[in-house]
Amino acid sequence: MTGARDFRALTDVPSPERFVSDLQPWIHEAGNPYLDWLFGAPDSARAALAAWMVSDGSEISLGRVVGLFEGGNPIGGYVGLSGSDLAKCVRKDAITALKVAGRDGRPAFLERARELSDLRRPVEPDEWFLSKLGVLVPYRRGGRGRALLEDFLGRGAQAGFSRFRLDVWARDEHTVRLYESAGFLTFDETFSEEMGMRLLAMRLG
Amino acid sequence: MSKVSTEEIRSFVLQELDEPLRALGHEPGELPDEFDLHESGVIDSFGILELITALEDRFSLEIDYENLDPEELTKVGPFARYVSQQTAGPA
Repeated sequence: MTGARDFRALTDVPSPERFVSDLQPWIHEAGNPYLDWLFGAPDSARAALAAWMVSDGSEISLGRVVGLFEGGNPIGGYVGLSGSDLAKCVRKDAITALKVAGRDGRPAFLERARELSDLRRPVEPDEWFLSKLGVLVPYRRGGRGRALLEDFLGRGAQAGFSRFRLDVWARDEHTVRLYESAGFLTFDETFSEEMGMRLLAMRLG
Repeated sequence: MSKVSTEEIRSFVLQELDEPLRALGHEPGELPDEFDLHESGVIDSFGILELITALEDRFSLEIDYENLDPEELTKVGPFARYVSQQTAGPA
């Protein structure tokens, strides 16, 4: 499946809210299994994602998404932001997550959040962070992942960043190789006993 | 939801965080209004969740933080004022 391919920052697209349901599947997958585990179920994770995406202060706000469009349809994309913005977003997103969990779900949510609280390594304020990157399943292959990564690096450089950061699950070997081929190096890793997975912290520059 | 004063909120926050504040060499009673609990390393993102949950449980509140600047969420004074204003209801 191919078509005219272009990258569009959702900030430049009229009424970006109409793309929430198109963008959510790959954002959800890019954030998993972390998101499903944190919220206890895929439906709850989707509810949180929907709330975050339409919130200006969120790490995955629509305004931070660069969509990969083919034939006019968003078939993937990425979310990039600075480390300083990320620090602000984490606070706001935490509040939204608490709201989504609801009063009754709070104790279990807090317990899971506590277990995952040390998983992510810090992102420095002057680093350009790749929060999510993904392509819808039918459109995988064809160099789209690499094209997205190159656009992420290009827009970051254009915005004045020379250092780049991302986190990736070690089991996603294909993705790890993609990042390594672009020059990213693993500088630290953490292990989630709950999910039985290693998370690699990578940096370029 | 009954009105809770800024001072009550502030006192509760400082009491909850007494131990980590002192561990980092801060005297809770002498913190400036703009003291940032997150940037100073007193709490992490999970600590924010815990603090808000404890606060809402203590005062039986349900606060909407949508209109609070994320940077002010972890500043002692602005946070306490915002929560207090929210408990006051519509003007």
